Amino acid sequence: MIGPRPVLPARWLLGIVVRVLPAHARDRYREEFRTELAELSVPAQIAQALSLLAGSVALRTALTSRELPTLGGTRRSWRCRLGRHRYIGRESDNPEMRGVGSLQCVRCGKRKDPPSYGVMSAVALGRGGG
Amino acid sequence: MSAPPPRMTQTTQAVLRALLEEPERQLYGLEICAATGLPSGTVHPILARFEALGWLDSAWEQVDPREQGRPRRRYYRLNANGISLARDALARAYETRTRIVGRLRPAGDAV
Repeated sequence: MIGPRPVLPARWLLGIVVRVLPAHARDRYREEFRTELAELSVPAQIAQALSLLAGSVALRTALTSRELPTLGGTRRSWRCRLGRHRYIGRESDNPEMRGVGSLQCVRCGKRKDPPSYGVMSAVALGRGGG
Repeated sequence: MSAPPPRMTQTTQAVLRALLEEPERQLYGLEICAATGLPSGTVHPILARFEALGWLDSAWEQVDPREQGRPRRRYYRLNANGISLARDALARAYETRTRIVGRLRPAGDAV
């Protein structure tokens, strides 16, 4: 490596960060992070390396997600993870559907149709709860 | 088929705003951290997601590290499509936040 090297503890932490990442991305991020660390003071290098370590799982998720990535989806409220969403009524964006609306969780943004639809269709099909 | 609009956190919006400040200018990780006030561990996963979405291009700095006396940096820049999508996404996020806050204010309006 050309130029200043990060201090040993920072390099050691960086080694762990890189090992967390998928194999295809390791070389790129090793070089990128080492460059950034080398430009900082020694205490800042340690802080930066710890920050990278804390974010390494999120970075791995972003690099390995096979689904279409969504932004900021890695930190969902524990209530939403347990299915305890907090829905509020939201009017439909479609002008033809004025007054119909949907429900949207104020914490995670998840949308769902109003519950009356499901109940009505279940009743109409003779499968209403009893 | 177009990708669904991304759901954005405050940190994601901060990164987008930093990249949109001067869209033609390339920024590297530390500059984005300085512009947003966010740590690297938060910024890099967001940058990786933007790259995966195709909004952001990244490339190694075209310099000779021996001449510069330092290793090359990885620079990021929103592409033309990314600039327009990012502006739309920020506007939509602002609109959504305003709408939700407006709906939460009147007592007893929540379902």
